[in-house]
Amino acid sequence: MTTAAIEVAGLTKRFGETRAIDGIDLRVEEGEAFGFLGPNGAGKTTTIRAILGLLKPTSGRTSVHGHDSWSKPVEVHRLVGTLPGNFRYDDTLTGRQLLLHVARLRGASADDIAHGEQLADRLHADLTRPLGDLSRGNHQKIGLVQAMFHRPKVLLLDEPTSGLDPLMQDLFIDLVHEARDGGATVFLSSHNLTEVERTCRRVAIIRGGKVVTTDEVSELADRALRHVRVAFDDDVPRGELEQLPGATDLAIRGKQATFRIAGELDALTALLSRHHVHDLVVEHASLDELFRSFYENESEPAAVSATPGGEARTDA
Amino acid sequence: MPELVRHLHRRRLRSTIIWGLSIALTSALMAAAFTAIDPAAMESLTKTVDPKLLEAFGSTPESFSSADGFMAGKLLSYMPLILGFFPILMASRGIAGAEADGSLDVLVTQPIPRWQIPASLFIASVIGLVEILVIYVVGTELAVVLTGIDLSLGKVVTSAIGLIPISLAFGALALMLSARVRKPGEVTGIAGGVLVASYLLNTIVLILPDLDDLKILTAFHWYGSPIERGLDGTGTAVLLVAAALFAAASIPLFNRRDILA
Repeated sequence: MTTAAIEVAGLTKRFGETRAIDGIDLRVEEGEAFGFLGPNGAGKTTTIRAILGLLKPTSGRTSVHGHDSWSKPVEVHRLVGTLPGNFRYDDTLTGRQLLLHVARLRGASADDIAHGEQLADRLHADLTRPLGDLSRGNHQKIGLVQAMFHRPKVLLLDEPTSGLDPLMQDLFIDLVHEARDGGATVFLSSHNLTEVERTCRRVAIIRGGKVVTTDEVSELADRALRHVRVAFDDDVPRGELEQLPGATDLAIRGKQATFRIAGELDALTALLSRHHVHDLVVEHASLDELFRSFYENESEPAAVSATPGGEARTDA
Repeated sequence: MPELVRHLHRRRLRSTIIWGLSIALTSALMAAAFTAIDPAAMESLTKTVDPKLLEAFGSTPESFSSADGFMAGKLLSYMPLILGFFPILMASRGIAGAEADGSLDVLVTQPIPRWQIPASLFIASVIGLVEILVIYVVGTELAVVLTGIDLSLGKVVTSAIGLIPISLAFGALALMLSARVRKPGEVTGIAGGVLVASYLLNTIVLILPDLDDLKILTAFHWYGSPIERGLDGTGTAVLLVAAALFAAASIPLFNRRDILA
């Protein structure tokens, strides 16, 4: 097996009695754009900080291109460009001074600095003003520049688009695509599903410190809730629909039924085959709805992991 | 590491200049005030006071008859109490403060060993202290020239050099605390508290001879009075060793701990 760009194996991190993350396993291949989704407090930032070697794992390990994050942080940091969730630095420095400072710390080349200035130009980031004078969005742009200017092999981005306007978010997505096309691995922590959907091939969803699912973004979409509208020739078979596994939010108007359904559709097609169907519309729910479906039952993360969408079944 | 030292030094440059000017101005005012004193009258007056009490506050009955004695009693005996806070604040803000406001993340994710951060802070503190004391020497010497008091440049420079080990010792203590404690207020409070307690203990020991054995516990005992008696080799060595030990301890403490968001 080749060395993963990022590997997280059985990672658990406790803070006193609080278990922030609990036995996380992740493997991100070189050149992959990987999304890491979860609400605030789910453990995204803790995981990223462990990958960066800023937190010592209570158990398990993390590595970047085979370098253990905790015991070999310098090697890890040489490969990684990162944007912390709450990017801040010396407020008196201008963006250009910060860029030069980080470049000197990294031993970056003049070409890298020129690349940073180009990035800043594309992001409309003002390198002449002190960081303390910048809005949150402009501050974030400078953070992105310092993360990406040295063309890192691995980009670890924690909520990178927070504070950016929609146009800049689009540009950020272009930058991620360019980095990935250039061979970089991108690990993107976010609670913005659209952002992940547009940038990443695979995604892990974390809840309560545990990864509840890891899959291709497209596969997740296939497993997502679907909106179903069925027009029957005869009366709606209410009882059968109410018993349909994974169906929720059943509403009946005349001979038409609308509901949401998660998971496999075999039971639905079998049901429909027993009736005369006048019209049928099945639409994928948005990834946002899928995301929410993983959080509807906060107290049962394991059940979600075992049977994606299973919590919807209990509601039918 | 030079880049890190340069940055940390630059970050505190404005503060360094303000500290230097404030101390230089105070010193210059003290030097000027000495010209208004009738040494003979003051000496006869102070002879009526218990010498132990005078000594506790850095004076002797003879203090007011010489410029260096006057400067020692009126300024330099408690100068470490003020100047010590410069490296203390630098250390508490440099690690604990930077962690609290999130700015430490940028540094600790660069490809530099973690130990370079406390080490660079220590070096930047030394540079800052030297700069403050250069301003102090220049300001004091300017006042000496303008007022014509009898205070040699050598004594002023000696007094400045004598302030470095004691200030560094408390700065290094703060550095060690900052490497472990995450709240900058706690770092400043504990290190500053030890500094003040050390001064008070030294004062009490001088008043109460029965407690003389405790004097070795106070940094101010080892500081002595450089402007009057010159640099004490033992005292300077004790303070520098303490500073080195605290600074060295900060490295494993900082290396081994989590950096929180």
